[in-house]
Amino acid sequence: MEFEYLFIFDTLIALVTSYSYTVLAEKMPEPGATITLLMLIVFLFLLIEGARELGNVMAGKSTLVNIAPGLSVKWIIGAFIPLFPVFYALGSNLSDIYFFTTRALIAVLAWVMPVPYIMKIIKDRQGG
Amino acid sequence: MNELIIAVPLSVAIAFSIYVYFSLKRIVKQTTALSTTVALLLEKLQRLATLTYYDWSRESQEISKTIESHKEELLNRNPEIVSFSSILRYYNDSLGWAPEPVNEPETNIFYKTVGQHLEEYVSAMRRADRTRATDEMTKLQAFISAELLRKS
Repeated sequence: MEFEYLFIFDTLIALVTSYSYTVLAEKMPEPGATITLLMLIVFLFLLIEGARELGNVMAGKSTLVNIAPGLSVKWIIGAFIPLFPVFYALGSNLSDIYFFTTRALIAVLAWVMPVPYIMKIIKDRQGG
Repeated sequence: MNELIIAVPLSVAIAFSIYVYFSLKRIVKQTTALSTTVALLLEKLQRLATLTYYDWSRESQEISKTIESHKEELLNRNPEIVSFSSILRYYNDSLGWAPEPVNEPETNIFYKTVGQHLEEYVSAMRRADRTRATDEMTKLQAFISAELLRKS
């Protein structure tokens, strides 16, 4: 059952973040729009790679001890990537910073919210 | 004001990073401690596979005690070991009311088969082949249960 939850969480995060980024990219002048979309690709890569590693742990093919350093780095980078458009907007003196910040906050929350539950699954599986 | 607005998602991301770092560190620490216990248990099970009669009974009681002392953690990670501990206890109890005839062919076959299954289990666990390990443990438990039924 945990596999299904992981899949649902990841799909929801991917949808929310892709929507957020696309909306932000439309509002940005070049090269900000291109960089934002490139950031989205990096973000989705981190999401899929993290899910693949977690899937291996849940299937018993790998252990948390092996993947923990890489996984924590991916999760932390994934939490900071959505802030890039806000920094760019601040640096370029774009109007309506509030719009960029709310979208970034939605993306960060979408990334952060399932993690406590995923941690609980890992803890139960690993017996920690 | 604009700079202050960004503080909200930024503080969420920073708080999340701290949470991830410390939570994963704690889980890894606990997992490592349990891995050591499991490794010791596997060593003991491999040793048990080579024993017979009184030595087997004494060693299996020790294994049962070790498993019982880590029951809560092992239930999530290796539930098959916990159920094996229960069946070991039943078998050792049964020796009280139905002692084994020493050096009888049937008793020798029992220890040989148990030893084979245990070796397969330990080898599968070391290869991280959970499916095979669980299969072997299920077969072993079925075999010991059948033996218990036969004795009763």
